Amino acid sequence: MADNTELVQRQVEIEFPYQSATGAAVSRFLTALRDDKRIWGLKCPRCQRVVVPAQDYCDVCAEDMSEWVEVGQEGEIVTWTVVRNENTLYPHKTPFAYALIRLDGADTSLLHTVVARDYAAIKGGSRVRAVWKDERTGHIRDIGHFAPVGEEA
Amino acid sequence: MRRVAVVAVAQTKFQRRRPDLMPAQMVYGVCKEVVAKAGIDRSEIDFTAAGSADYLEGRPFSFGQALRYEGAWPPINETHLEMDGGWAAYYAWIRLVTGKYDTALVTSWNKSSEASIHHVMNIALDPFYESAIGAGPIPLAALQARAYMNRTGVTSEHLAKVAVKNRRNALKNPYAQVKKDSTVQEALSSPMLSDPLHVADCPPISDGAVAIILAAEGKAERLCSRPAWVTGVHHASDSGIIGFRDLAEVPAVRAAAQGAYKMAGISDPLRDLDVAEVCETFSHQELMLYEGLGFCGPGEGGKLLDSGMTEAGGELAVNPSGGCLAADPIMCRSLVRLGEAALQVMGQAEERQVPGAKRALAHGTYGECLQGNIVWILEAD
Amino acid sequence: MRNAAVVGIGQTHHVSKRLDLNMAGMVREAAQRALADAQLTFNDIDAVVIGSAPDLFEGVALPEQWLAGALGAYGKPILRIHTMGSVGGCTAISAFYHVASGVFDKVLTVAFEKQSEAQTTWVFSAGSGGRSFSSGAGGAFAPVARFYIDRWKVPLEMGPRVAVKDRGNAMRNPYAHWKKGAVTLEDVMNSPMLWDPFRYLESCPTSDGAAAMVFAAEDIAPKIHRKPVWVKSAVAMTESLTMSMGMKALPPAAVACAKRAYADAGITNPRKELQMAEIYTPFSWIEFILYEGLGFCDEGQGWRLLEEGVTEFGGSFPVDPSGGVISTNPIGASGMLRMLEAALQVRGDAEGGHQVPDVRQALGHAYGGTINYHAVMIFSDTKP
Repeated sequence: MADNTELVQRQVEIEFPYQSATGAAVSRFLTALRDDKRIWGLKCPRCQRVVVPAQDYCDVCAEDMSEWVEVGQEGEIVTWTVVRNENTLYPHKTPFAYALIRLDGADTSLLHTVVARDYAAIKGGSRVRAVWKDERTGHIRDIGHFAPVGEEA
Repeated sequence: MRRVAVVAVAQTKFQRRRPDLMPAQMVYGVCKEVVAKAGIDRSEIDFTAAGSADYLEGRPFSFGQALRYEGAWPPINETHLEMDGGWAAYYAWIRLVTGKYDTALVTSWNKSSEASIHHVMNIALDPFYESAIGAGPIPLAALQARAYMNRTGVTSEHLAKVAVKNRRNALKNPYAQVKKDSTVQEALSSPMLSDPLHVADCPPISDGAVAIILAAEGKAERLCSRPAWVTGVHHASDSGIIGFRDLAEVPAVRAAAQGAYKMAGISDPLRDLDVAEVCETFSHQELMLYEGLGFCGPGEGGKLLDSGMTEAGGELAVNPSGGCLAADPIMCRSLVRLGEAALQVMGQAEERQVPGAKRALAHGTYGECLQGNIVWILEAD
Repeated sequence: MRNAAVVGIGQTHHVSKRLDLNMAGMVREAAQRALADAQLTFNDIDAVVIGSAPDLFEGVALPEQWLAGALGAYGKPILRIHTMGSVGGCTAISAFYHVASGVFDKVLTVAFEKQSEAQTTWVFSAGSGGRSFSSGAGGAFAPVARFYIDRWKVPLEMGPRVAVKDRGNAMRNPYAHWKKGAVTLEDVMNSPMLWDPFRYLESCPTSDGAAAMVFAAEDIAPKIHRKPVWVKSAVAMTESLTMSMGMKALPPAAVACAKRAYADAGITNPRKELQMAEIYTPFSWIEFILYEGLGFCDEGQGWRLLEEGVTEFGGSFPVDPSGGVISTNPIGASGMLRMLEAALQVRGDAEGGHQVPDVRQALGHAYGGTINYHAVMIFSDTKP
């Protein structure tokens, strides 16, 4: 190939629309967020963990789950990260934090976001509370974010 | 169990962007080169396995383009996995162990430059809860780094040390992309992307391809004077749902290592192994892998790093190639580590050769936060 | 290499849209049926191999990462195969070799597609030059069908007769997608032309569905299932995508694949030594091309096998008693459906009246891409 051959780059933005069935457990979890502002988990009959957010089967045991258990609106931060680089997928402008949150009564963590006034004050075990959106559609982001307890207002 | 060895390795020089080749085209050079290195005619290949991801190219069925470069005429016995090439190598190993096949070609290609990695890997997450919250590799790795650091007391300096070590090692690797002599201070001064991960703690964006030849006993010895025999291999998966995991632990690494060590008869990896090539996509992961692979006890990853034993000249050199921090062609990662470990055992690692290396470990991973892991043990006779 | 047998078979009831289950639920349904058939649980499985066609069809990339827990692969090995339309077949073949190698004793394998969640035609075309060039899959195969018709001067109703056969067969298969009843030749000829010469009724649907199998090692298989189905061949071959057929309508990789499969099984006369076959016919005329490629007859004679009634349900060599791909097509699963249907026939367990009498050996086939990827398995009631 000659040195002066122009290498053409193709620019393309791809957008494929999808409509995904969520299944019984996820549907119930999401409709409870939308309609009741309540958070539900499922208990595995084998390992007894209360799994939140809800899905039809336990990931560790591969067992079907059907025992619903409501969990709290508040919980503890298990781990977190304050995000600095922007990305179009992020739900908030930076800085904000992603965190794994162990809601009261759950044995697994919910991956969600924390918006705080003072990120330096966040540590493992910090308590946070769900802050609900006024317009909810049956989406995990019906919880707009979590805020440190005391900061929700 | 039938013995199978790596007998030849070829890789591209990994770089930020290959503007001159389409993804599958990168396969041509490495396949041609590896077949020549093995000294065989391509008609001797009984089985071909390929690893790649369509989603990175934004086109379904794009892997089909690689067939002509793999030499698929006349018709060949080939299977493609939509996985990291390390798992294509595993399937090739399975096929050779059956005794029905003697020689396999494994190839993998990756062009991260063409996609937004955050967007693509976001779509591999649980669709309803974790993809939906917009997460991607860097913040998820950061969650794991924080969990691990809180559990063990490992510091940001430790993370920076891993980055500095590996990119300095990469100076001796002609195929590595990011190679430099730098300091912990420089690493810590690099911009923070997602606390506690700085730019220096994160992998580069890499384009490239890799190919290896596997051969069974009876054939391998004819193709290579010092074949890298696979004496142990196993792989295992953790949950794909981040919130369901204890991110400070790596049970799937342990399970893969235990399976491989059992097969290979290894009881003290730090002493029994001469060199290890591991997929440390983020700096803290190397320390977690020290623990998960049993190089040290739980919580002692930072201590092992501080001891200097995992430096290039140490008791157990880890990532003399520079690892993923020096070049990270995502869908090739694990196959590159397997190739690098094999080169060490074959005595063909050039300037990065660990002198006298006889027994090597190669680790590969897929998914976020070390979800899926494969461990190979390679040995020279 | 040790022997391995099919000890568990399961599938979902294939439909246009499974709105009641997400993808994880759908694969679990098939997996749980196969495990129930084998009287095993997820815990008993040593490794999992899954297969599906493009991730873009469901909008979940690298789905084995999300699905590992759903399929009991927590702490265990899981692999994901992707060889276009043949994937279901290559996935079953991979699972078989995992056991035959001696490395694993019991392997669960699942192949699936939940295409209703995407715009499939759009996704297909994204590979071939963008949205401006919407060929879809039928458009890619129409030329070779036209070539076949012209080359061998085949009466034009033969393609439609494949549709009559398959849709009639589907009515005897409770799992098939097609439920609208047997169709006549007139019905088919009157249905809209989609990609000349393929009419609507001669073309496969898009279905949501999953297929699952359990393979077990020879020493334990008879203890697991009353009638293990032995694998005599498992061969997958491919050539490059550019349809090297040239001026023939005979896929070279199909010929090579079948030849090897017969050699491995010690079969010299397929029509005599096999009692039936499940082959991958997504568009009517391809059926004859496959008969010839798979060695059921000489080149150019494929259409005569149907004309003479040989491959009809009541004939001497029934092909696709399940209704085939024309009646049911969750793309990623379709190749495995061919394999498990062939195995069901050997076992004598095909439900709803689609069991062919006295099947001792059967062939399952799948293809993908531009008819370049082929997978063949031969099943037998007798251990090799």
